[in-house]
Amino acid sequence: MLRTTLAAAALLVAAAPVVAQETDWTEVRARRQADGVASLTIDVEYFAGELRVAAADAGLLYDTHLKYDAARMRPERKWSVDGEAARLVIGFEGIGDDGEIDFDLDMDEEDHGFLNLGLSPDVPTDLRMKVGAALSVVDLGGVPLTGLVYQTAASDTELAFGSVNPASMERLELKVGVAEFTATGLGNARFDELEFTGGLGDVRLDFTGEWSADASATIEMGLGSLTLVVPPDLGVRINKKGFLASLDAPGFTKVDGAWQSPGWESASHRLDIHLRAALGTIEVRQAS
Amino acid sequence: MRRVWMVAVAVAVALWPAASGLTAQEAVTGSTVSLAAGAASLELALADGGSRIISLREGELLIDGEVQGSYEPGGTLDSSWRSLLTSPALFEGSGLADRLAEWVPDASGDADAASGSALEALFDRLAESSNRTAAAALPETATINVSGGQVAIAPSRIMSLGELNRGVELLGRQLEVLGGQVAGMEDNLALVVHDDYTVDADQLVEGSLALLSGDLNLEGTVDGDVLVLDGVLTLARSARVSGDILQVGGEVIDAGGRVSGEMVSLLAGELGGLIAGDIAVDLVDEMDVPVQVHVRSNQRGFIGSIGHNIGHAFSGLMASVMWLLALSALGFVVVYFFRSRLEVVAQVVRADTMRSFGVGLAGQLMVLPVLLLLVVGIVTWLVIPVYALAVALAIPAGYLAAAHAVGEAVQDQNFEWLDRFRLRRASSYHYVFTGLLFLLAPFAIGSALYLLGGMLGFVRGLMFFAAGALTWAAVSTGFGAIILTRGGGRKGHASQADFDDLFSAPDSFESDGEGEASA
Repeated sequence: MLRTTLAAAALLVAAAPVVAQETDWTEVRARRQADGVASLTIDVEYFAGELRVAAADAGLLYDTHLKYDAARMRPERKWSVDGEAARLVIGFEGIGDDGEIDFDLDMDEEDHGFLNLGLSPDVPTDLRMKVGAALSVVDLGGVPLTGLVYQTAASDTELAFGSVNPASMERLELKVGVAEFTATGLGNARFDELEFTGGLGDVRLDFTGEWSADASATIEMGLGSLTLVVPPDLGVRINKKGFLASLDAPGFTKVDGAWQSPGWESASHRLDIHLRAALGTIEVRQAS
Repeated sequence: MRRVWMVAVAVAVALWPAASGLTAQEAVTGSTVSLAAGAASLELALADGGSRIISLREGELLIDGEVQGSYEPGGTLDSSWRSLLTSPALFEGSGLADRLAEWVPDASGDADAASGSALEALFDRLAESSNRTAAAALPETATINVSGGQVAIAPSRIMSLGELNRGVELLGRQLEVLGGQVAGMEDNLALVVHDDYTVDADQLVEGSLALLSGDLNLEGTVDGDVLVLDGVLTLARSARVSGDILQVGGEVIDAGGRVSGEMVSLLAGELGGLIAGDIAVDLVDEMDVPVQVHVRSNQRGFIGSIGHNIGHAFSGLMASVMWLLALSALGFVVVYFFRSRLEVVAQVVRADTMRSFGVGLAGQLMVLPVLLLLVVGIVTWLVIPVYALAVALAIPAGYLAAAHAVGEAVQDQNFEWLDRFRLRRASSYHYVFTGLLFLLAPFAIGSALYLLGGMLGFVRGLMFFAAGALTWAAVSTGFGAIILTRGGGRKGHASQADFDDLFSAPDSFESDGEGEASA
């Protein structure tokens, strides 16, 4: 039996077609001036590669720099305007009958795809992103965001608000599958409500930044470790559900079933966290 | 889509004007002279497609066929008029209308004087109209008719008509290549620029603009798209573009101009390479215009690529060797302390491969549910870490058992290299090492394929996939065999299989005294 298995394995290797895969790495930069646009909604679907998001140069509504394999996929940009409200959709479609995209996920290769997305520093933007298997660095400092939805399946993501959001957003929604996810400067995001859903992986949510109002956060975590970093001057209350997940929150005291930070009563701004975790560890650390 | 650009010369070759305008009404664009015994005529072609015919015919001054005066045949006006029409200087270069206005007829009689004054007045009006139109239109352009309409070529001064034709045909080919990215642009093309040129702030290009080469300083307005195939487009602060700017080659400098559409730059790719090669060759060879295309290159160069590939291959091979050494060391420890258990598991791998694989596969699928069951059921919390530890140990142990089995199978073969490298030993240590050598070989081969660069990228990927699949199959099979034998403690299971023939070592095998694997 083993002989057969080995023979089959050898055949599999030997029968590999000696065909070189054609690639056509193409780089395209597309940008648009911000004149006449008062608000922008951007939908981005990026499946594989390296994704970087940051503020664009002043005067630009968006600035995309894309590298992709034109032999496998075709980028799409759909632009529509309704009055002074505009919408941009960025996506891909595969080349072929089925429209499916054959991705190259080898990030160690010199030639791999990327998308650098620059967002307007002037026009209020509602950003919705779906990211597949990518290495994502998203720095939204200085971008006036009125809403953010970030969904990822299996990405390593660094999400940062390096400076205060010039606008404010009602809802900040983060959905993470199997991934390492780090969000920093969430205090700069100026959200009313944060919703985080995590599947499996290591997650770090850093709530430091310049808080200007009270906010609430709903955090659901499957398996893995969750680290919450909170600034010392922010009042934090954690209402945890899920007895299999341990909570380590030094300095917090339990009041009426919820864990409160030392300065909860006197804090000028408060963050109310509703936390549900299936299995894993939850650490709460005060930022230094 | 194959667009045929049919170029038709609109006016006489020798009288190609430089003062034509895109919106001209009375602008003079060409002329035709007819001389006969009793008549001398000048036909002026106008930019709007019309014409003016001025004739001195049989004693009458005719303008567009209507009698406007009289003259004396063979008199002073007749002689002066014929002298004007036969003067080569009148038709050299630009400014035909101005030179006509400067003409002073020699008229001695009353009739000749009156008709001469009428001609002067007519030429003054034409010159004024031409100058007014030229001031509002693009200067120094030549217009040609193409299938999509009329296109201005700028600047016109250095190009012959043949070069103009080739330039427009070249542009047509490039637009054809660009396909959907400039769909419809060719039908709306109004201006083609092939050298240094300025669209002034008060000028309007009614349609799309294409920059073939040169420096285009856009200060005015383009009511359409702008296509930059090569050259440098500078958008001044006063510049306005109602459509998109598509940059395939060259450079776009935005100094504050306003673009209503999207600015798209193709920085690298097949199309960029085509533009870089095709246009450069065509323009340089056919038009003798220096071309510089700025297409970003991702290539390292030949030497750099070789170095990169060697580095990739070497690091991959080293990683394979390190894994071989590390797993061999682990395998030797397992053989030393748990030889009998390892041999039992390995026997099951060989004797009952498919069953072991199936059980291993099921075991992998059950790992998480069983863990959750233990968590929920909670017999005792101690079970959970024990279970996790057992699973964590079973995976590498299973892989080593599979390697042991593969090694045994390899030792059974008549491979000469086993003898040459003194690897043929009937001991578990050698079985494990030989098996690992085989299981890790696809990784090493895949790494070695980096030496061939991108030529065999697919084969390399397939090799790594096969290596991964083989590893997973080995882990699964070994894991299943561990489950079947309760960690190698249930010897009876292996004895159920009839694999003595497979397992028996050839007589020629050397033995180092470590003993045969037990059956």
